[in-house]
Amino acid sequence: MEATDDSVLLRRYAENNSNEAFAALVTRHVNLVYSVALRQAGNPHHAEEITQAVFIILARKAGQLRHDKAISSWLFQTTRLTANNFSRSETRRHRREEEAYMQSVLNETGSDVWPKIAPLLDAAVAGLREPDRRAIVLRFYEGRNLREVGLALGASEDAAEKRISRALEKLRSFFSRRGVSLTPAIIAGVISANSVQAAPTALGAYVATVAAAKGVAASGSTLTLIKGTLKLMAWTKAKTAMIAGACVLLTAGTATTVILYSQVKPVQSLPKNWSVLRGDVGQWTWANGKINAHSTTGDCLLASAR
Amino acid sequence: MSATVGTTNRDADFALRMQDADSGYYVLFVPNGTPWSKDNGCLVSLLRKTAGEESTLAMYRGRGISEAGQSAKITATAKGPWFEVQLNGVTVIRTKDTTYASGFIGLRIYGQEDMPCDATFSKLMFY
Repeated sequence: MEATDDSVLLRRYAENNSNEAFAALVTRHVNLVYSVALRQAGNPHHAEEITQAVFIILARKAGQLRHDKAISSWLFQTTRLTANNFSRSETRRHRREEEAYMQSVLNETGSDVWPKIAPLLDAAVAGLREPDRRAIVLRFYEGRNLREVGLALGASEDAAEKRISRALEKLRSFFSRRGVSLTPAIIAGVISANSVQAAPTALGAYVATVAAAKGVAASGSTLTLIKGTLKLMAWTKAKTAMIAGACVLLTAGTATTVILYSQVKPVQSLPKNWSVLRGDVGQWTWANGKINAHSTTGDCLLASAR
Repeated sequence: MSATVGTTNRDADFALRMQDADSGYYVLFVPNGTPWSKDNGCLVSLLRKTAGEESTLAMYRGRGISEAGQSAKITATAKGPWFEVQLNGVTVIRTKDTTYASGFIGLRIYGQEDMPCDATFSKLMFY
């Protein structure tokens, strides 16, 4: 019965743009979507955003789905996909925040700096040329001495030392561009002290077992992660054309989300229910689609009705 | 809320969760190259104002802050205890404060006789 109702409601929304029909669908399925989102995101605020995005997608795809008798399964799958995408977005957002934060961090020393450079350290090392990266990883991640690094690189101890020195200079430049001024020596010390930490005792054995069976015993999330990573690797090979396409898609998706988020439109005039809480009404004018403000008398506050 | 904002001489601000004219939160946008920024630097910041006393909760002084007279899109979101500010679509501030859980929103400027403020707000949107 409910499945039939879903398709009817979807058709009403798709064909007649019935907001009531869509609201009924949301009421019926919002708990399911939210619960799946919450389990995946682990955060009520994030789950709310994911739920909102899922129903936005439903609205956009209503025309294609209007013959579906049961949309709960589609919603479930879409929620999971959206939550995964959300996690990736959160990671990117976090990285941008770290970068932004680093802009304001200047001239700090070793132990203070680690928490701030840690999120970007691996990206910095990954950006080095292969021989430099190998040298840095061997010297500081694995703790090899210069002779061992030289042997691994097929070079002398002196050559290894020079390569490490140049690589550290590149890392110094990387962090400097992001506002953290450190000497190569401090970078070396900080990486040595912090870049690798002990994994839980049982983890190694577990990973070895699962990996040996080529992932047969791996959890669903791990398999998904693997699949995503493999896709990412394929994307990397495809390079420019696909990346450009993805950027276009991402941009289009973002714009749509903003518009549909609460179905807002730009304000067309000074909001009617707003009032001047401090200052003079004459300090605020509307012209050519812009609110213009002018003050020489201190605080001017134009605010909404409470 | 979000808006495309700009100022030639000082700052253009949002007000969030205002209790009255003296208590709430401000998001400040100070572009580079204004008379004000020469002394104080360009920035995007989140302030809490309590009984007229302002305290900075978070500040961003990095890349992407436009020049005086150029506009920038500022998006400020308050959700529960979390505050997020985006500059041209990039999150530059995300912080937490529980002092005011609700209140009204608005636009704010601050100017003085010897350092006036002229600001514009367009494409104003509320979420």
